[in-house]
Amino acid sequence: MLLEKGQKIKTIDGETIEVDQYLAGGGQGDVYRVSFRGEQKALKWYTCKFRDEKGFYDNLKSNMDSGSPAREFLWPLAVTEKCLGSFGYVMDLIPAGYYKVDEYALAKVKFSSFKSAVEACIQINSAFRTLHLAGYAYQDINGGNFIVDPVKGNVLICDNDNVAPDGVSTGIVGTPGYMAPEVFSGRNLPNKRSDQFSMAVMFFMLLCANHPLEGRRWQRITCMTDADEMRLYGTDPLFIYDPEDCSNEPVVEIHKNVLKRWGFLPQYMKDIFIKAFSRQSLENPSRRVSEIDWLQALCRFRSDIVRCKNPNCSNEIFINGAATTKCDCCGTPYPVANRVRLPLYEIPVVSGARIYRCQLGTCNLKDALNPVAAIVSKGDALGIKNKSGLIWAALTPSGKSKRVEPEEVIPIKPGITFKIEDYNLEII
Amino acid sequence: MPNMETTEPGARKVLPIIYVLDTSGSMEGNPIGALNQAMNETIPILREVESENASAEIKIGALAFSSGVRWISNGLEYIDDFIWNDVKAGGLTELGAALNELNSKMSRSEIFQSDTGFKLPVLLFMSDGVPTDDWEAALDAANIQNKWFLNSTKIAIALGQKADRSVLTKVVDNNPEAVILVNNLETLKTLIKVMSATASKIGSVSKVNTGTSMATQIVENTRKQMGGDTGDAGVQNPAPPVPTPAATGKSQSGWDDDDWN
Ligand SMILES: Nc1ncnc2c1ncn2[C@@H]1O[C@H](COP(=O)(O)OP(=O)(O)OP(=O)(O)O)[C@@H](O)[C@H]1O
Ligand SMILES: [Zn+2]
Repeated sequence: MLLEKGQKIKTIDGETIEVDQYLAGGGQGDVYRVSFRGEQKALKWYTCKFRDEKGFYDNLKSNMDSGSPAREFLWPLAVTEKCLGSFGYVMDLIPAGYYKVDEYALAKVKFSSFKSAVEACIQINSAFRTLHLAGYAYQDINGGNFIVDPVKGNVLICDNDNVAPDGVSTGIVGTPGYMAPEVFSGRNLPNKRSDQFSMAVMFFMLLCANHPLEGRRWQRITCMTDADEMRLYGTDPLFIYDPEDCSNEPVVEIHKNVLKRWGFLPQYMKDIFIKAFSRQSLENPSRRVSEIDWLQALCRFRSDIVRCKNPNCSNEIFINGAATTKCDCCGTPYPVANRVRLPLYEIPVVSGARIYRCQLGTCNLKDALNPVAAIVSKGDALGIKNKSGLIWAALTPSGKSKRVEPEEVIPIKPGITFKIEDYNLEII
Repeated sequence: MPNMETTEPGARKVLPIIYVLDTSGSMEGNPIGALNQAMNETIPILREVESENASAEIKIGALAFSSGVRWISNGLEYIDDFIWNDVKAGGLTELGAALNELNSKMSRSEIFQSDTGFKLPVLLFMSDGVPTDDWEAALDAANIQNKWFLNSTKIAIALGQKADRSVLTKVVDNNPEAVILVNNLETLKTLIKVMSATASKIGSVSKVNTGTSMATQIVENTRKQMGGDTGDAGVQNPAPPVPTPAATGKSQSGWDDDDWN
């Protein structure tokens, strides 16, 4: 039943929600713009009777009570009482300028830069890290529930009514294409490990714009029967870039995006995808790539993406091996004179780059995305600014020790070493 | 790195939805009017679903049967190209002719041509009467000879009390749950729209953990949505199950599928 403008509905705490306007309909319910606590919000109102099943309403209430795990989630702010044969919940409105991941997959919307696609992955990843650490599993990661702004890569995650404590089933098993093999084949119900798989699919879709398991094997299926789907996504999945088995490789005429992009990805990004979709990881949920591993790779990737200095080109370049890299579009070299050696890898010294806490080594969740240092420029000279809030101990090339206060800048000179927490970094 | 502007739509399988519609004499007047209106209103709904469906590209076919058959669509058409030309009612109820036509046209050399391949076709039958030809022989032939037909997801609408539900049940793989009986034309219109939208999304939206067939899921979801809007009055529960097993021998095809005709 449709709600009407001006209609008032009570939350379980007795607050009033006033219906303003119908916005959209979905599989399970309609979404309205409403006013609530003096602000415009969205009301999801279930139209589908099965939503009244065991525990769904209670789970929704308990999600609301625990509060949103991270700002990316359009979390239930208030749940309505049961009335008019149904119920619903209030959440923030999706702001203008956000689009579903599915719309990117259909190329109806395109990122304004590769860097913003990487940013979107970072945000999705950190949202899930928080969600999982809070003991929840999302259970239904799909391209309709994730909405992304194409310019900045900011992410919002809706449909949080299926979020439940890890291991608790809400009846939803997921969306084909994003379901982990053990869930697709019915061996397991969704949990945080299957979320990790679905998240890797989404990263691949965002960065490579094709599906990681749909290559030649997929293309050669004239008509996809249930048995075919079971093999492709459930019992015998194979990554399109599996290094040992090329039988599911991308097909030139069809998988154009990934064929264009894969070759440009830095080796560590290829490696993490290969690991995330390796046979071991596909078969064994405990071998999934963890959120922290993704975060490290993605943050590194973000600092390797620069814009060509040729003003007529301004193509995005992926810096290769933290060294000077030629623009693949116009050939202009992007100069990288120096690098910073982090505990695990080197990053190019390019203006605007940041080093995040998770790039140093193991860390607390809440600190993972804190910038600890930023590359700044003054004229032609580059330096490293202390953004960590801590004092660094630095050594000059000739062995003199220096204190680097927060917000102070170290000039880029090969041979300078400095210490952040217990990690040694060196300019080379 | 290639410019993001050059991103192309990801590869999708084609999801064929084929309407097989009774336009016999008994449909004359209001029923055919309701059908035409429903189909006209279904197209924009399917366009919208299509524009958001990242896993399947919807193609539409429409086959009318009365005394003989007539394609309303040009084989399978992209939903953006498809225009519904109103059909007139008149003639016999040659369901067998429609099944024979499907048997001969559901083939890689006929309507099923694509670089990316297909999802299982959805066949949506609608009839208000009793077939006047040898539909049974045609059905058996299609099930034996045509893998596409055999494996299709089949659902049916029985319009009015005169519709032969047992015939439709047999056509839809002996699955009584895949037949919906409708007694009034308003409900028919809503039903065609809701059922089409549901069928076009099947396989691309969140799944609930059930072991039921696609056809049953489409019908169940359709009922749920209809329940909200129009009340259950016009849409009755299925006839008591006929104790025959659903079509057996459904495909276990391999990666190459050279055996699809
Ligand atoms: N917070 C919101 N603000 C504005 N619009 C929203 C909001 N949440 C959802 N919508 C709109 O409502 C539509 C349906 O919402 P939602 O996806 O939650 O429904 P659903 O019943 O789960 O549908 P489906 O199962 O088809 O995904 C969405 O496509 C979106 O356009
Ligand atoms: Zn260039």
